[in-house]
Amino acid sequence: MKKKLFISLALATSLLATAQQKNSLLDQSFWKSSPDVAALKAEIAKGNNPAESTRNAFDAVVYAINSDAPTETIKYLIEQPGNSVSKPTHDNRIYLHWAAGKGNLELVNYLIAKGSDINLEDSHGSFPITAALYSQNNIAICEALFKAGVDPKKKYRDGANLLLLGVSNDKDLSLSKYLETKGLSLKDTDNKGNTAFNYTARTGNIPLLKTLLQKGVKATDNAVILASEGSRRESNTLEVYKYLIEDLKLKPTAVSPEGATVLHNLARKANQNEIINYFLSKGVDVNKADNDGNTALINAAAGRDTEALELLLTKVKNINAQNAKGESALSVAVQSGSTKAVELLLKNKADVAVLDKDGNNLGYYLIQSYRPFMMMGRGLAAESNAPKEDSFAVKLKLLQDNGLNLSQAQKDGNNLYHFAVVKNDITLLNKLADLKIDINGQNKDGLTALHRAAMIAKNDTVLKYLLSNGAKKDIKTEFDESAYDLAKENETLTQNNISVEILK
Amino acid sequence: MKSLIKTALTGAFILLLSFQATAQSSKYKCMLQMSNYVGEGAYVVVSLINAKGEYEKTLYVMGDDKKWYSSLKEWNKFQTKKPTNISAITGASVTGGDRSITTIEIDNTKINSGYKLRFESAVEDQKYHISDVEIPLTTAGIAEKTEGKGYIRYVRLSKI
Repeated sequence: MKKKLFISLALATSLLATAQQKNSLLDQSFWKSSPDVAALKAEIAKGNNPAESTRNAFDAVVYAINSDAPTETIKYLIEQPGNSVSKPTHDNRIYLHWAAGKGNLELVNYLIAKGSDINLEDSHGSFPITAALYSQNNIAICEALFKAGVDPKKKYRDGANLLLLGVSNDKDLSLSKYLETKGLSLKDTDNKGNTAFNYTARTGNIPLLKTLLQKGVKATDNAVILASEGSRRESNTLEVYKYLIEDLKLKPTAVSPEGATVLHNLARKANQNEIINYFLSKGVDVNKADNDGNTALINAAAGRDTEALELLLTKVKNINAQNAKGESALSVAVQSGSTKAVELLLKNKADVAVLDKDGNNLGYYLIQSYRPFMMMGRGLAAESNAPKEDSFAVKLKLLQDNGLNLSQAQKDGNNLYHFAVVKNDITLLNKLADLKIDINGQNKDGLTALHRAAMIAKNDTVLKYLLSNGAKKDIKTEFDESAYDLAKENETLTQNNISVEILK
Repeated sequence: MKSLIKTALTGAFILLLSFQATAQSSKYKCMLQMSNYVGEGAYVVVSLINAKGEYEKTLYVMGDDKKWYSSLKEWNKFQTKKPTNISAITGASVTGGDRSITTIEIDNTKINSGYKLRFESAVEDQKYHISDVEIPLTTAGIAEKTEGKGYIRYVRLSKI
C-alpha cells in the first residue's frame, strides 16, 4: 500500500515537473533567484513566453512580484508584448494589486504612472489599496494611491473604511493614526455597526484590543462572531473568547446579521471542540439555522476531519435539517466532506433519500464530488500518511448500501450520465457502468447525455464512450437538434479539428 | 378623517393598478446556449434595462454562490444599492458549451417601449462582459435569435 502511494506521489511530482518545464518564467524557483534583466532576457531568448498564464491566471509578472524579484526586471517583464498594466490575472487582479500587496512602493509608483486603474476591484472585492493594508509599506503605498486619486474616505464591503479593514493588523496603530489625518476615525463603524474593536477581534490580539478600549472604541456582541470567523489562515484560542465573554461580558449567544452563531464558524475549522463545548455550555443554540438555512452541523459536514461533526451529532435535534438549497448535512458531506463524514451521518440515520429544492437526490451530489486529479489535488498533503482511497467509490457504495437507487432519473429527467458528462472524463463514466442507468434517458428539455456531451465536449473520447455503450444518435432535442447538430456548433471541437462525423 | 379616506382610496387604487400590472405580464421561455469556452462555469444575470440604460429589475440569476456576485460588477452595484430577494429566480451557473432553459416574466408594458434585456456574464479569472447579449424588447427583437459577444453563443426567447 505504501509503495502504491509512493508511485502516485512520484507520478504527481513528475507531472508537475513537466508542466513547469514548459515555461521557465512560470517556475517560481527562477524568480526566487533574483534574476537581473540580462538573466530574464536570456530566458526569453530561449523561447520562454513572458506573457503566458497558468490555468489559474498567474503569469510571470505576478510570480516575479510575489518573489520580490528586482524591480528593474519586473518593469522589463511588464513591457513585453502581451503584458500590460490592465492585464487581468488571478482573481481578476491587475499588477497594481500584487505590487501593493507586496509593499513594493517603487513598482506601485511605476504602475500608477503607466496608467493602472487605481480603483479596480478584483473578483473578491479587493482593491489595490485594500491589498496594501497588510503590507510592510502600507502607509507609503496608501499615500501614493491617495495622491493618484483614491478617496481616503471610500467605503468598502459592508461599508467598512480603510481604517476598519486595516486595524486588526495595525499593532502600533501607526496606520490608523495616519488614516486619522485623512479624516477617518478609530470610532468609525461599518453598516452593521462593527467597530474597530470588532474587526480586531478577528486576529485576537488581546493587547491591541485593550489599547482600543482605552481609546474609547466600543466592543459590541458581534465581536464574538468576528472572533469565531478568525483571519484567513488562523483561528482564535479559547483565551481570546474567555477575554470577550468573561472579562468584557459580551454575549456568547450573539447572532450575526446573517443569522449565524459562533458555532456556524467554529464548525468549519479544525480542532475546535474545546471551544465549541465552551459555547455550548454558555447556552448557544446548536440548532440555529442562519439566513441561508445552514446549521452548524451542515457546516461541519464539509470539514476535513470529523471531530466537530461527531460532537455536534450528539447535540442536534434534527440531523436532517436542510438549507435553502435543500441540502442536508449528508448532501454536503457527499459533495465536499470525507468518506468518514458520510459514513458517520448514515450510521446516525441521516435520510439517504433527501431531495434538494430542484428535486435532485444524493446521486447528483456524488457526481459533483468527483475530482479528476484527486491524487494531485489539495488532498495530497493531508492524506499523505493514509493509504489512498477512492473516495468516490466508497461514497457510492455507502449510498447504495443504505438503499439509494442511483439508476433512477431525477425530477427534471436528468440521470447521473447527464451530470457526469460535464466532467469530460471517462474514468468517471466507467465508475457508473455497473449502475444500469438508461444512457438514452431524456431530461425535461429533451436532452440526452449524448446531446449534452456533444455541446460541452473538449474532445471526442466521451462521445465515443457513450456511442459504444449504446447511446442513440437519432434522438432530437425539443429544438429539433440532433447530437450531430450540437457537436457541429461546438467551438472547441471545431478549433481542435476534431471530426464529429461519428455522430452522423 | 377626510385624509384617512383619501389614503384608503389611493391605497385601493394603487392595489388595483399593481394587480393590473401583474395581470398584464407574460412568461417567456429563455434558452441560453453557452459557447464552449475553456474555464470554470459562468455566472450570468438577466436584467431588465429601461430606455435610459438603467437597471430596473433582475429577471434571472445563473449562479447561486453570493461570493461571486461582485464579479458581475455593474449588476452587483444595482443589487447592493437596492437589494431585492432573488432566491426564487436563482439557478445554477452554466458550464462552457452547456445550455440553460429558464422561464422569465416580463411586463407587457415594457414591450416596444425602449426597454431591453441584458445578459451580463463573468467567469473566474477571466474577462467580465457587461453586455454579453442585449435583446431589444421589441416584437421583432424577441423573435430573433441573438448572438452573444462573450461566453454566450446565443439566446433564444419564445412566449409561452
